[in-house]
Amino acid sequence: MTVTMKHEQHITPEQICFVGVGGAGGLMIDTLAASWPVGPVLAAVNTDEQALSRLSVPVKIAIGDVETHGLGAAGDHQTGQLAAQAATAVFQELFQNRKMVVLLAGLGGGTGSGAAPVIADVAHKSGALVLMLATMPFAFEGTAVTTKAVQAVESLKTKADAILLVPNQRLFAALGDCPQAEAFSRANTIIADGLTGLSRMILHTGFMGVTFADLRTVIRQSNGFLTFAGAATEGPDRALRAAEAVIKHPLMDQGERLAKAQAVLVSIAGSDITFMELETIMGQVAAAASKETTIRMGPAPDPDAGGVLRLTLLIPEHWQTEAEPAMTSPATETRPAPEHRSMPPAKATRPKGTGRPVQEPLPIGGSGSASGKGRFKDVESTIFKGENLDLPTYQRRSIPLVRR
Amino acid sequence: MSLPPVVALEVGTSKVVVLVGEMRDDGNIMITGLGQQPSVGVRKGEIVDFENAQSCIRSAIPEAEEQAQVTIGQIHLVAAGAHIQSVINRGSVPTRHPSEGITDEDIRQVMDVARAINLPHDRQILHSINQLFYIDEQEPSQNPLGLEGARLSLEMLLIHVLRPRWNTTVRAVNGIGLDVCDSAFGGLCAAQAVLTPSQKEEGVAVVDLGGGTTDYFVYAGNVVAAAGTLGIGGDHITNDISLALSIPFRQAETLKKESGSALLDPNGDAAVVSLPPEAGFQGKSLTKTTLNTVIHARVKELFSVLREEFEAKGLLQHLGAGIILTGGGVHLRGVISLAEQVFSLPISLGKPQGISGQGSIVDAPEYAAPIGMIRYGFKYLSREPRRSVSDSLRRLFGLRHQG
Repeated sequence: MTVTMKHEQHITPEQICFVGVGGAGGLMIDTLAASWPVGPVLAAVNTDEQALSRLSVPVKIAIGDVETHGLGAAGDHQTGQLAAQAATAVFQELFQNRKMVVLLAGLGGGTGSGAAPVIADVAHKSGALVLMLATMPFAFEGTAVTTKAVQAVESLKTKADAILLVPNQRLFAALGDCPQAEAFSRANTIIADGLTGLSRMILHTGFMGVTFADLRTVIRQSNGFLTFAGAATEGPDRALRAAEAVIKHPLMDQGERLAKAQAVLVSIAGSDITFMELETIMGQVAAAASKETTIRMGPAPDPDAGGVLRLTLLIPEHWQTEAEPAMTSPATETRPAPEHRSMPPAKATRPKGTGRPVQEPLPIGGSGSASGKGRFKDVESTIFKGENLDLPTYQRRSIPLVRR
Repeated sequence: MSLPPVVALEVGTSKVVVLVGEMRDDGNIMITGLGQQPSVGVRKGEIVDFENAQSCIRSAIPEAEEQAQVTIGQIHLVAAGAHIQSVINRGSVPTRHPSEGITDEDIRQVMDVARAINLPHDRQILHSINQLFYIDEQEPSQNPLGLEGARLSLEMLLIHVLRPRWNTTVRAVNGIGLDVCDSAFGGLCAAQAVLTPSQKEEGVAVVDLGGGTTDYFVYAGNVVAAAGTLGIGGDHITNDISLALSIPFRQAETLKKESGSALLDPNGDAAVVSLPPEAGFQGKSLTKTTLNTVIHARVKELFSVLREEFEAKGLLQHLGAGIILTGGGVHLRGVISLAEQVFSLPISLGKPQGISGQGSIVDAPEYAAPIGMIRYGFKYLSREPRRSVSDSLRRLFGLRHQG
């Protein structure tokens, strides 16, 4: 286990933009807006004007007037896609001078699945680091919905720098006993808490804080997929309780994610954080992680926090690694920092597997996934000089294959 | 005097092997029984599905019992897994009677000091192997007994395992009523089976190409210079094929075995290979070039990574006898030529030495590790009083170097 502390690059709140896409994305951004009224730009995008009107998000973008007459995409992702493409100019304007764009969407429906990849593409071309938070449908929603969601992930993989993939199955596992409406609202709160923590992690850089550069490093090492957990506590023992809460967080899969993590970014934000509290938290996290886990911490003093301690973990995951071309592998990633990039961005600097990505179902909910998939998912990855050797060599080396 | 048979058990990534060996009067080992089952629930040499892996072991045992006409109650376990690592540690002690020569007691002491390394708490030493002694930091010696000096130092190669993962395998074995008599690292076992004294003297690396991992064990100038495991094996080749061609793992395995080669024909090989359709699989045809491009990339990378490891440890120029390949991976066509290209060293197939029995077993490179385990087992059985079972797992035993 190595603990490193770094101090460098900065980002201002205005340079971050959160966009909720579609119905589910809108509700997530709405929850975020309620708990966090100032700071980054918050926007909601939907083909359904009525759904938009119910949100209290500062920026609302209705798309697809022509395609849907403001009535929604009705589960047709092509409608969502066309609607977003027609609104490209609006997004270009929204993403001007942003360093980081976080998109939120529930995949499997029309607008989220169809529009999110288009919007991610615009954000990427504008030079921002693009983070996609996507919830994946429940297994009981059926194959058609799941397939659509998986397809959306496939197309997002080439556009977003990283995908925070949240299987509803995992998210709701801990909320099984709640009535449905409450479960949804609590699920949105879990996501909003995590994102709030994530933003604070980047914005409130402490004297040895996690920086935007660190975040980018973690994201680029993630093979494209991340998971996260956040908790906010106050009062006595707030450090211990926060640590326990994130370790037991629904998205941590009963501690499994942390135990298997190769790296974890720990952000501790709040007022008057003591060294004792840092020690408590880092001790708990280190105990729950494995010996090989690289733990990077960033305490971020936040005088306005009013006694609240906000703990956030960000963990790069190897979801679906085998099917994954080494899209953001650190060994080959040469994409320059967004602020140094001229427009239009050099797409070619994002190495892609030359082979057509092999599409197999995602391990949604961790069960019932196809066999052959995840051959090495239960064992530690073989890492050599920063490269995950479990991934096919021909993909990592971009060796072209002639297919009949 | 008759020693009881030694039973080697290897819970490999692709198969579980039980081998029974008996010591004959002429000092040669005779293999009298083999039990073998395809593995389920083993990845990179580690058990990931306890129950299934255990039932594979359970069914391999009676086969071997029947063939060898023995009842198996305890086994020698081949240690595998990508978690196996090694480190060189140096210990140093003042000698007790500098003018009277170094005693056994001095040697015992310096071994204790060299062995006392601070490893993470979940790591456990499996082997501590003497490399070279130094007297007053002068020229190295392999046997300092009786020589004069004030200070005795020793470099020791410590092979260590991740205790929780190792214990899983031991638990699986114990759970079906078998005692683990002793255990040894698979790479060491393979070296025990195939190396000749002159090869060890000249310098040689044994590379065991397993289903889930590749183990290596290196001698330079009669000293064990390095040992380790790389978490890449035949499974990775198959997995690459499966993903490249979008075919199930099982079909990819068939394709690899029947048509694959690690070598690329420079002019391309347009010959078409077809996989017949069967239930749940539509069939597939492809050119050999496509298949072999995938295999070549993976195997070349595997050898290149090993070469880098050897180079970093300064071993390459000490391998006068080259590299000996063992393990099931040697059956892949072109693997020797590709290894020659990557290492620029003589490469040969490992053949167990001084072993008799069915040719299909004793000549097959994939049984090198269990055969070596048997030899290792006899070496300690004949020398030492039998250890208690749990004790043997906890104790740190020294493999005294022998030429």
